[in-house]
Amino acid sequence: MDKISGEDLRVRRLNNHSNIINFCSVNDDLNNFLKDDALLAQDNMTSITYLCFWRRVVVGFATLVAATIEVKQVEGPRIDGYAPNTYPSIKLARLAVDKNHTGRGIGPHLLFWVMGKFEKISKEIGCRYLTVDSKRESMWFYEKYDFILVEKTRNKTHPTFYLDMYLTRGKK
Amino acid sequence: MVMAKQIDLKLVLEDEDARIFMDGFNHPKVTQKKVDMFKKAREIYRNNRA
Repeated sequence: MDKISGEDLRVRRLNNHSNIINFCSVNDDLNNFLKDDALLAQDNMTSITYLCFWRRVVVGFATLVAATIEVKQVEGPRIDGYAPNTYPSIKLARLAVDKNHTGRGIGPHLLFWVMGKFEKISKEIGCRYLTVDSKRESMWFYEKYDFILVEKTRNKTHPTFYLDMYLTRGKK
Repeated sequence: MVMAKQIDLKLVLEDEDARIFMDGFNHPKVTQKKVDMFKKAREIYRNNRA
């Protein structure tokens, strides 16, 4: 199928009126999360889900949560007034594309949108890293966009990556 | 029904992963690829504020 122009994609926050019933990715876990858990988690303020629309149809979604990175056993300077070795991050907890629209540029569009959202948030609340637990078959996707693989997790079911968003500060 | 994977909020880095992380924190690399990537991200977000 052809790529969809980014101009034709819209990202909106999930709400009670969002029609998600027909969304179907290749991953049942992600489908179940969107249909059963995402709105409840949002109401509980534990995650926020954003839907990607094409021609008013949900073709993908991304879910974000606040998270942290803890670094152990490393010598070096500490930041005054800051918990040692703990660094604020945002986690891309879910990212899925409808199976009828894979390969059309929706995943990259959502990822770039998340990076843009990150920049906005990081201007108001300190956070520097975007993290993600990848499906094994999606590792190439995050490597393509310079996410760093946590080697310790390489052989796990969901290898973890992080992206240093430092450049979003002061680089316009 | 299959439950979705639990979301782990804390990533713990040790040993070589920790060293690489701290090196990147203290000496972040500015690459043209990243600059271009974040510029594109900014544009996409600006057109889709949610």
